[in-house]
Amino acid sequence: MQDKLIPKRGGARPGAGRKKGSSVYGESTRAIRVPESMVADVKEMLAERKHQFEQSVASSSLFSSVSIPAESPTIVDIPLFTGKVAAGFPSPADDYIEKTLDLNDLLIQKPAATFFVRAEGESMLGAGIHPNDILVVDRSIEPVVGKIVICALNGELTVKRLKAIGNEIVLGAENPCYKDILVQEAIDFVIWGVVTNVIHSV
Amino acid sequence: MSQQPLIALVDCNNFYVSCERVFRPDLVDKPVAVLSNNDGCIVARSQEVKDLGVKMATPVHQVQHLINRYRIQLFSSNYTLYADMSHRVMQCLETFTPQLEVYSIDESFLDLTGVNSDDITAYGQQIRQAIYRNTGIPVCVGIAPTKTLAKLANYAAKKWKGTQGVLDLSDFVRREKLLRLVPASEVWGIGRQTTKRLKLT
Repeated sequence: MQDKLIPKRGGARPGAGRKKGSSVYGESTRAIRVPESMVADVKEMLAERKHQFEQSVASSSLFSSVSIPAESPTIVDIPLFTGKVAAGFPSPADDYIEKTLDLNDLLIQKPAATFFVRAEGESMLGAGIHPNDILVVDRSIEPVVGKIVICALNGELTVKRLKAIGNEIVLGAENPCYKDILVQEAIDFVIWGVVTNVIHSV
Repeated sequence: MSQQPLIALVDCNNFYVSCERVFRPDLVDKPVAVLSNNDGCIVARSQEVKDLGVKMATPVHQVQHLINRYRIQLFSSNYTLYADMSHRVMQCLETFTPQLEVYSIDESFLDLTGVNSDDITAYGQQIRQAIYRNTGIPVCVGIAPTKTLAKLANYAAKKWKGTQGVLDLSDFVRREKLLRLVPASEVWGIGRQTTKRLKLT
């Protein structure tokens, strides 16, 4: 008479617990015993592994390379010397101050439309954009031919110079090792913003 | 002659999802959802996810089969990002009106009284395009003489693609026409209890 008892409480619930592959190493883990003398080595190895995984996740996510300017940055006015520096030759006329300069003023015209993007790759070396440079991108500027733009090419953000050949739009690289890209109808292409400045540490 | 007041409600489309999509252009036409703190519930859905019938605040495990089947992209919520993007949208809106009332993280009332009303739909389009260009966030604009009607105009602008995201209800005839089409429960302030009472009478 008595059917199999189905407990209403307790037991495993679907979806409960730690998710498979959700560990800091990107795969499932299990508990093991380790000889005490080896604990330090194993820990070090694991830390290395974790770091590797984080790196791989970071580089696959586009967002990690786009940052947002501070909302209310402190104004840092630095004295601006008017004379130009002739590659290491200090001019005696430089010893007076004309005015001060705040870098935010210089680099950001429209805060609401400005984003920072970290550059990757070497296709734009000729335009002075090196790997890991920070690009100041203003979305409000009209992307006309000749501008360097961030565009979404088949869903991927990339930096190129906007060119035109006849009626065709061309995304030009500034490095002879890279080919220009002809924007055909089959390509999913959206201009994301216009690069206004490059911040490059030397 | 006193002018008819004119209020615009600008509301961001699927705001949290749109914020994430700004930085992930590959997800623009894919199903995307944003999860609550601790990834428990779905708090924002792209249109694709809404079309699958996933309701607001659904616990993730209840729709896990849909997530797997339709490859819904999930994001943990990133409120710092949403606050920043909201701030950008509001900053852009400020350039269109002397009086901006930020109503929530993704919507604002703009006082447009005095704007030449022949072009008011075009003005709404200008707002919409400027926000999209500057921030990457798609918005809809509802325009009407009162806040409640502006809310309704926004609802209609979102719902009917033909409006291209902007609807002006300052015209009496058009207003009447829309009010006949929209269920009373969609009117701002008409909640579940009032709807029940309205149905009884």
